[in-house]
Amino acid sequence: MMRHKFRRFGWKLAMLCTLGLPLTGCWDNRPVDYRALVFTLGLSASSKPHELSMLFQFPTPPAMASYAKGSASNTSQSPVADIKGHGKSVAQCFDVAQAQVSRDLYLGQIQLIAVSTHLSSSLLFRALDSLERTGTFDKTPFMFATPQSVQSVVSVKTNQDAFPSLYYVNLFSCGHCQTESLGIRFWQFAADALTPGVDPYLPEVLVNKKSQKMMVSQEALYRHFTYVGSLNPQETMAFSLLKGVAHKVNIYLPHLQATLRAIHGSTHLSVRERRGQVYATFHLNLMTTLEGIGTQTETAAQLAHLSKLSSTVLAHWCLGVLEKTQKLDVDPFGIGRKLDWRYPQEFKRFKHWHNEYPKVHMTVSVKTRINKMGDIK
Amino acid sequence: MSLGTSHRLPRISGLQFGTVVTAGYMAMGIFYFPRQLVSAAGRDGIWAFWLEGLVTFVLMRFIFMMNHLVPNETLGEFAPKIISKPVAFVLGIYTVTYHLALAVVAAVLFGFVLSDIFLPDTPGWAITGALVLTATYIASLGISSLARTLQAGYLPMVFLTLLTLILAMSMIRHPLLLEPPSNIRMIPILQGAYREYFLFIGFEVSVTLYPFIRNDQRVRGEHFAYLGLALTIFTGTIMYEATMASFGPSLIPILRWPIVSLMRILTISGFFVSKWGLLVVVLWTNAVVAFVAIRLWCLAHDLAALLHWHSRYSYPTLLMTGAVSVFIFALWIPNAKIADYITQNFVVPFGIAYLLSVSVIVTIVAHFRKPTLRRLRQKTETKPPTPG
Amino acid sequence: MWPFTRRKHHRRPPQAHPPIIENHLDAKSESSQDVQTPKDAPVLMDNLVATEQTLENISGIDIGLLQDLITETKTFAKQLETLEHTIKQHGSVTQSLDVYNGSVEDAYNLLKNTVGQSPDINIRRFFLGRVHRIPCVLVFNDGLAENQMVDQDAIFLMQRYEDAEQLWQDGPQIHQYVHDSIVSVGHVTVENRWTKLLPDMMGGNTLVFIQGAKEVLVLDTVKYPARAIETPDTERAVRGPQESFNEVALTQMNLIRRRIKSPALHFDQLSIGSYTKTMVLIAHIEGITNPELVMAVKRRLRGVKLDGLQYSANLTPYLSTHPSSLFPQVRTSERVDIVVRNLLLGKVAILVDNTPYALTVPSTFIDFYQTTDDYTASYWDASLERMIRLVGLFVGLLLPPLYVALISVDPDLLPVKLVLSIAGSRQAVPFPPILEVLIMWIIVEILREAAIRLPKELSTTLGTVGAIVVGTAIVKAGIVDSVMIVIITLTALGLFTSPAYEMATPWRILFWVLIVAAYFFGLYGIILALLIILAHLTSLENFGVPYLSPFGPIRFRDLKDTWLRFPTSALKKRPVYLRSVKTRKMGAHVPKPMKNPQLHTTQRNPEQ
Repeated sequence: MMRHKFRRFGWKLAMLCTLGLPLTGCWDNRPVDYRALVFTLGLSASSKPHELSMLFQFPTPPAMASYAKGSASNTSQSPVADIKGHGKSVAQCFDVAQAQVSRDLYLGQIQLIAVSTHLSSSLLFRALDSLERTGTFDKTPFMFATPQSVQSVVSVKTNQDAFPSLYYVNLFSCGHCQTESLGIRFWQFAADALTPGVDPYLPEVLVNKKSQKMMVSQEALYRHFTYVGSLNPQETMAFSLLKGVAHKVNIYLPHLQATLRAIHGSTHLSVRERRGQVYATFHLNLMTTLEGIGTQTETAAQLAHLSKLSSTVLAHWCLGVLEKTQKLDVDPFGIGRKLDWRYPQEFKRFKHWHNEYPKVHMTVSVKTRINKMGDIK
Repeated sequence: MSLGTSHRLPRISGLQFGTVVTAGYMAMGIFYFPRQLVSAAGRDGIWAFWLEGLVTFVLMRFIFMMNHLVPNETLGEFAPKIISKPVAFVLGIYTVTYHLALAVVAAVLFGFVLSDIFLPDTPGWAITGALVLTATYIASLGISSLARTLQAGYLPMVFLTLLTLILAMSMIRHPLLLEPPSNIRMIPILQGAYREYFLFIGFEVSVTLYPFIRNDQRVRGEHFAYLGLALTIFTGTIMYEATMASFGPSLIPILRWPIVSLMRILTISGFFVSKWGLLVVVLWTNAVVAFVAIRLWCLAHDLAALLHWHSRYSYPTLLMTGAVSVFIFALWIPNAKIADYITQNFVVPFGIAYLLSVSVIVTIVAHFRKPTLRRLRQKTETKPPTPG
Repeated sequence: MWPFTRRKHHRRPPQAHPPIIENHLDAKSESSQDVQTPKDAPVLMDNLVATEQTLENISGIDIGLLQDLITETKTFAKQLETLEHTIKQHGSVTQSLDVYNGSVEDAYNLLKNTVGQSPDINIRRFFLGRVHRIPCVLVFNDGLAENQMVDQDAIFLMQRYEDAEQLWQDGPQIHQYVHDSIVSVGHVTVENRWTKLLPDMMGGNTLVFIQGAKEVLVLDTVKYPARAIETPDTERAVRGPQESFNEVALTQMNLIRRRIKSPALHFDQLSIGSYTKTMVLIAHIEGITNPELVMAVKRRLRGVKLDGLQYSANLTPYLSTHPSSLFPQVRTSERVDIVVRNLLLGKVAILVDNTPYALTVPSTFIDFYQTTDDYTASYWDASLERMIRLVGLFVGLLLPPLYVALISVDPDLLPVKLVLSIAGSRQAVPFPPILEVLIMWIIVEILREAAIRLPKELSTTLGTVGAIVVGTAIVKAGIVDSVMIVIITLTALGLFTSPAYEMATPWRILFWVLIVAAYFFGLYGIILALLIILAHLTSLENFGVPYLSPFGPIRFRDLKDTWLRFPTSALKKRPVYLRSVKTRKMGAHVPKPMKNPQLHTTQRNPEQ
């Protein structure tokens, strides 16, 4: 009995020793203050051909300390450090950047990826592919595109948040805080870029050089990884209606001097194929609030007229966007993808969806309901 | 912890049997799931998955039928007396290898997931070593403790995973993909079902575990095993649907661990941990450790039956041997690609062959040797311990 | 097989075997009639005394040792004398020396020379009866025996007794007459073996030796110097009875008996400790408690071989199947109501004299998280408290390891704002998180230990000082960061939410296992360590009861009194794991008469 007990004890001791063996090293144990928490990653083309330029932006320790205390940071110094690395691949860029930083450049907390629209498709693909393959890299950061210098866009000082990256994160993660919910996460972009029959898109950020204010009201369209063009703010509005992500769209109808605001609603896309011709129909069911009308008080007939009129206007906007995408030959709505899932055999018959997309017959049907009219009658 | 037939006390209840059998296969293919299904069958993958479930149900019935032959002995113990010693020896070696291979593959797969996502700078031997060590400790405490640990730790984890998966439904981008496709193509479905079958391959623990159920609980045990299968299919279906409708059929085949990817993108705001899904992935350690522990337990018992070594030293010695082998073989596999290759080319075909052939052969042979069987059954009937 | 009816079978034969000496002195004593003191003995004594006197005059020499030697020699001489006398008295009859021989004078000498040396033993010689006086000796322990009873109910009545003729008639049965007609002490027994008589007397009984009687009267004059029944300090309850056990086993029994009046409640007595002879009572309710369990408890306790049993906690290793485990497997409680509740559930309670903490077996993990308030409050209240208690455990146990894991190994899981503020607050801290935890934990443990040991008044001051030091100064000094303070405070509070103090200890130790695991493997390490702890908990079994029941093995019926406390109507049955003889503790169909009494029918018309 005693021997048995002793043996069991010895066994436990051996196990403890084995567990204790790793005490010689500490592997992944690096406290946060030993890591440079990269919040923003910028991807742009380097001055050299076929070279990638990556921007690693992380908050500086003094700025973080003052953030933790809740006090205002020193305004003369930038709260973030921008480290740039150039190279043929992400790893090369990373190494160049790491050489300039005293702490571990940590990619697990990336919140934002800024992509220059001037970046070539092959470089963008290579960069994103490498990032996707990196295990520690978080797959949920928001992405945006910008035609301006990436560094100038991600380092804009804002008085709304302590760090510019926090500004963008707050903006994109709150769908209802925006006119159109434009936030696209890394994995969503990757899924769209890699699925046949659909093209990815990204919100486009512009910074006013003089006032140093950010504007996020445009969409950048990509064909796979190639940037092909942007939608202007009004087109973006229609685009978001077609996508069903609009929240605070408004229109002014000069005829009745009426304003309709908070236009939002659901979209249903139906796709069918008949004798080689693809028909795509968008059904938009929109709700809106009457903000004001020239006659001050509205009648039922006026309301009916108003909703019909607004439906027509909105339908025209939407069609305009659809035509533009057909001209650019990008399918951000996933008409081809829908066709693939509904009629896989028919979709396979098209050799290249991009040859087909401009030929798709588009229909937009909009139903606007004015469901709120305010307190004045 | 005695191994001798006459000393064995049937200790576990029906629910515990069901839990152990379910835990014996659920952790295995979960990380690859549903990649093989989708890459072979596309959107039809869900049919392939359900087909797998059905096949498993049928095979489980067969295995239980075989267990009914001599309910008080493990397959390794009664096989020599029915299908002759040399055949049984080969069968024993096969079974032991089977357990070893599954344990190694599970440990390796999870080790790769962990080292890829969570612990990139930690050496692989440390991750796998800690896993195997924990599993060995749990297995060393015996089957009743193992079963209780599963009940107390594994079941809550399964329910937490289910809840998280339901939460993951909020990330669905393409509700259209939720409905099972109607144009069924048989060949890709069969292909997908075959390749993904290592999801269910481990349920044969019941051949070793069956005699450990309390006599009055055996029927319940079988029912709970079926219930566990139903739960697995249900969970798998939700996993499949959530992954499919979030990523689409084109992205899934190129993801290494689709379900982990799905969990990684699940974030919740307003809590101390925003990457909730990742936390749940770490919790799956529970499932993998349980899986390896069950394998090690079976391995030690089957080895003891194979070597006819029944003493109080046999179980600890064989358990340690098994654990060390798992650890060494796990280190021997250098990357996920090779693990994949081994699974697809060896584990799946040999596993399916085992499941299909063993129960059928043993049952048929036993049919022709009824008197032997009857004698065997009477001889192995347990005597209840005298009270007091 | 019913253990209680055959109790005698299980009782062991008397522990002490009386020394039986063959009377081979007879022949010698006849040949040489008077046994002479050895010639050298007086010489030796004279020498010793002379030496002492000589040494006394020389200053600077400690003669203490010599004095001791003289005293011891004298005592030894007297003892030898008594022995010799006793042996002579026995004559030719082969009789045990252990048995009282009937001579009051011998008894007096024996007592005087042995226990009589001790100042707390009173030996009194007196005569029974006024006319014909019979010599008697009475001996008792001053302090443990009730003086008033000895004086008034024994000596007074015996001295004043007049009907002496009656006494003479009885001869050797005289003690019976005294027992029946003279002394007025409630409980009197007879005994004639010294090995029984002396411990009885040491326990507070009074012995009466009567000339001519072969037996000795043992008067129960035991006085119980006891603490009053006080409120339970270690297990407080908001509502519910406020009585706790005190040190006296009899009072403990009384307190339980007052709550369970059924004759089915049994107290089986054992005496443990070869020197202390501590009374140990095994309480159980026949017809509820599983007899196998009672038998097992008795067997284990009978196996206890100790010189002294002072605390009930000394018995826990014998009652635990895995005594080396960190986790307590025997619930101790000073609350009477908890012990009674456990008895009614079908457990066995063990009361130990001189310890106010009763033990109950078998205990499961969740027993250590159940308390009086859970059953006196509404089930909403009770469930909330229970949940907070268990959440407190998890928070206390897991918060610092999670901190270490999330800050050092897996920062990617944290939300961006939290990681920013933690990283910010850690900028000036020179130590890694694991050291921070260590520093804070040591401070908290020192404060805790000091607060327990110090008098109450001081501990309040200490608490204040500690709070200032720990709360503000250490952060300002930049030794730890402010988040750590919150975490350690929660941990210190959380780990002590268990109503049973002993349950906090294992967690306070395992906490470090988790911290180390988190240090190396982050969350993965925590999960592995938790699995090992869980496996250990499930492997524990005591008296055949799985420790982690009803979680592993899952017992759905018992789950109703764990994280939540279901309404009483849902707890109709006793816990499964106890395998009690009577499973239901509530009537099956309780009618509810007068559910809605028509009060208005008997009301006087308000208009009148």
